[in-house]
Amino acid sequence: MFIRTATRSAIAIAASVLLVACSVPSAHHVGSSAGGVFFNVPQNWSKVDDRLVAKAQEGWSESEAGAAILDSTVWFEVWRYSDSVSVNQALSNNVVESPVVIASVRNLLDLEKTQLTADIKNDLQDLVLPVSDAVDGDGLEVKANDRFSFSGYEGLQQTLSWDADGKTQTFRIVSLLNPARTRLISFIARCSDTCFTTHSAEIETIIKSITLKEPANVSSP
Amino acid sequence: MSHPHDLTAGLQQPGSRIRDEDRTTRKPLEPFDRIKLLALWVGLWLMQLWATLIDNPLQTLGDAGYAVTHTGIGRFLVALIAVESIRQIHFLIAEWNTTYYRLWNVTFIRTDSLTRRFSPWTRFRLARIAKWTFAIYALASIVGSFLNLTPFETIVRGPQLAVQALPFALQIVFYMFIAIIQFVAIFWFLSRGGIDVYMPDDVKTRFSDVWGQDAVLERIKENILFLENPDAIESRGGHVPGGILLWGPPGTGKTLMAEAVAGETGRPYVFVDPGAFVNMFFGIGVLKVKGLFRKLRKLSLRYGGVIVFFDEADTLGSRGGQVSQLRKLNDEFSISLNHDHMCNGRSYVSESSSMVLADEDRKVMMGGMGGRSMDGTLQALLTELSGLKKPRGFINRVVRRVLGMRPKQPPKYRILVMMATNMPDSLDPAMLRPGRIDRIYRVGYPSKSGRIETYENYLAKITHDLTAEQIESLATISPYATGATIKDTVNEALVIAIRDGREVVSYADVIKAKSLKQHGLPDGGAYVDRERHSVALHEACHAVTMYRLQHNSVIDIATIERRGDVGGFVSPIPLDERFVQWKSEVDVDAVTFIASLAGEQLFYEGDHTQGVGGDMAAATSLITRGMLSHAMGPTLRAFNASSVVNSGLVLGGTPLVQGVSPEGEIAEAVEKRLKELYARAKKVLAANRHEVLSVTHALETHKTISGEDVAAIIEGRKGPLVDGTMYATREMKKKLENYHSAALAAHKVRDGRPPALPELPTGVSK
Repeated sequence: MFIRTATRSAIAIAASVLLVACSVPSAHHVGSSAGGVFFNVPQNWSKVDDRLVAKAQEGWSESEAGAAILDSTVWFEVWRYSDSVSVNQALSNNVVESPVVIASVRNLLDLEKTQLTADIKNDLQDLVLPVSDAVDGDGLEVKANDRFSFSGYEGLQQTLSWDADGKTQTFRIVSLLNPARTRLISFIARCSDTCFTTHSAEIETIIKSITLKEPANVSSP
Repeated sequence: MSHPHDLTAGLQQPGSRIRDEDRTTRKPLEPFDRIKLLALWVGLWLMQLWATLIDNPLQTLGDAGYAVTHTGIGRFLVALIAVESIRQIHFLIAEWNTTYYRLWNVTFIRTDSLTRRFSPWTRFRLARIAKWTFAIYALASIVGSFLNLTPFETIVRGPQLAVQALPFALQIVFYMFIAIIQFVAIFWFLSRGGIDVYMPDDVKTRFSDVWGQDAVLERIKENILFLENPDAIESRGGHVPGGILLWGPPGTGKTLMAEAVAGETGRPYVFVDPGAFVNMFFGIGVLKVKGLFRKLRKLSLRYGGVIVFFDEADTLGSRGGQVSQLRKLNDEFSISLNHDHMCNGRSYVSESSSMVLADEDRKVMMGGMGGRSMDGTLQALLTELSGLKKPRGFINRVVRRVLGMRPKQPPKYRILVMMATNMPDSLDPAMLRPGRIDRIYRVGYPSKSGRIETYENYLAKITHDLTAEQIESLATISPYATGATIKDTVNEALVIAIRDGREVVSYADVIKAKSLKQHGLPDGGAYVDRERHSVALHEACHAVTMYRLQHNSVIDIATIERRGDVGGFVSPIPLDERFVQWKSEVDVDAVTFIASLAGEQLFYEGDHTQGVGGDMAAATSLITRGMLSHAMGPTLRAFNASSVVNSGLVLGGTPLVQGVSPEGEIAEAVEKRLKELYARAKKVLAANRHEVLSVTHALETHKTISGEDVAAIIEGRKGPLVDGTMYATREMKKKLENYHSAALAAHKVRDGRPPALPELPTGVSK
């Protein structure tokens, strides 16, 4: 009796496996165990090849600051709605007509750690992009700047509008600092104003799916 | 209906199983066999799924399954699950559907018939091509994954990649070479030693230096002649005998003969030490054997022949029980060595009977002997002695083959193997088979003429005054003397002469030396007077009886000097080497033993010492063994002598065969016989009363006298040490009787003092 049940179960599971193998998932489940962050990306989005990203980042290491940030990076991924956006475009400030999401986890540099104050909102504002320096000039407008807490993490959600070369693009930035204030998790979603409006629902879905999980193998400094 | 405890229930009746070719459907699989692989692959897939779910908290079960399936290992597992599912479905259909099963079998038969069109050799080559293709593809895939190349690109760029990797490969090869060379060096050093090569003229010993072994020497010369001139036998279709075994007692000149061969031959001579193949590490012996024969082949080709000598060949060992089927050869040795002579050996009985008799011997003589040389040394030696004749040399085997030529057959290596041992039973029978050892020679004790020659030659090296008669006499009283013992005796005589401050060695010196070597040094302790007389009388009874009755031996010495537990003894020497002994001679031997008891009781009025115990035990043993083993008693039954001794039957042990009890007829017969022999001894001694007292007196005076002195006293003539004529006088007879009567009286009162030893008339030498 047991053998018969086991046989049937095994056949059923095997069939399930074969069915699952042929099914299509609802979304890309993206994340990094080492970085301790996970999020969902719609199925029709695609990930930019890590090798292409690494190649595009080669220029960053020419500056000392860039090299230091690359060295401290734990995880870095770029997702795009359309392949029409190249890697270099995605990683630059150039206006893109198709949404791009850049997610990264990096350890704070020693200098950054010493510069952290009690005003976390102010600190986080410039850790991802130098917003404070550009806010009064260069056509940068802060549309939203909200602080929040999440499982001990302190975070800042920003929506920025930036005019450059006669075009306006919207940045949706989420930055999170771990309780020990040693690691920075950042999401930058951006594209032109028109594009952002069109894809705002998808971008919000991505932002809302962000899940944090203390990495088991990353010890706090 | 089967019983609940019927263990055979459910089992198929023998012969009821359907033949595979008679089946209409496939034999159903057991449920476990049906699911085991599927369960394994599914289990591994589920483990991957679990890991994915743990890794990413956002994963749903379905999405995780999809993700797993799209990893490399996931794809592989799904493929395995699919293949296994299809296979099991195929089995299932074949188990239920006759048509499907038949169709499938037909397909296979057709496939088989297709492959059968090719010869097995072609099939093997095709399979080899397929295997190599797969291996190259797998390697290219692995290497390509590291180099971001497709397997095909990797194969195309293979030679270039190989050249690039050459320095690294050479480095690896170099490290391996270093590691290997260390082992090679260690084994090379360990496999040195134990083998000496002598070139012609290195050894000075010649055949003329070997004395007393003419018969064996002639045969060996013959072998050397064939080795020196192989055409003499090879041109007539024969072959040079390749092996000689010299076996025999120690010191008979086996090694000397081998040395003489080295001195006489014009070929190199290789001497193998007895311990050459005894090694600490496994495998060294094999290397040594191979190295030895490589050297022998080289010398053989260079000098046209070579002689190799294995001294103490028994150290080469035997494989023991593994070669028991070949023990017949050993039995031949056993017969020759066994002192329990049987006429014509066992050759007139059937083989099975011979084996039974041999086994009986083995129980006693060879019990507990195990095999040795299990490290392959002996086997390597056997192979080298007569193994596969294979082409040798790198150029011959490899280069010629590369050039499309067949390797040359090995040349004729003329290697004469000589072995010497005094333990032929310890040799492996396989080693002694013709082709390895063609000739087996027993090097026995030298003949009398050989001993005379040996004595003459050794005495010629020193200053002596021995006459030819005395040398012959020495040879007569040294029946089992070997070249080594004669050399040692002569040297000891020289030492005695030097100790006495004399330049010339005398006959007496040689006799003393011989006695010393044969019987050892006396303890030097003195008897009390009364005991001295009884001990001397005891030995005199033996001596006189022996002289009067023994016709096949002479007395070597008679002595009353203590040696350990032995108070004195009379030592006989056989006049010639005898193979069998007659019943009458056994009786005389027994009488000689019994004479001590008979004499003591005769001269001491019925009293006797404990000293007769050993003699009576020996007499009893002789008579019992004669009766049990040699049908010398009232029955015709006879048993193997060694079995009789071993079973303890002689001393009243368990009966060897049911119905034969030592307490019964044999014991009674032995007792009766001993009594008869006792009476005979007493009669002889009574008739020679004066001779006994004379020899007693001589022993008391000189402690040790030679057999010739005993004869001189009894016959009333002059001996080498004692003048027997002085004992023949009436006055001396009276003195000796008075002396014995006084000694007897002193014995009777226990604490009485015996009289002084009577003086011989003037002129008697001391």
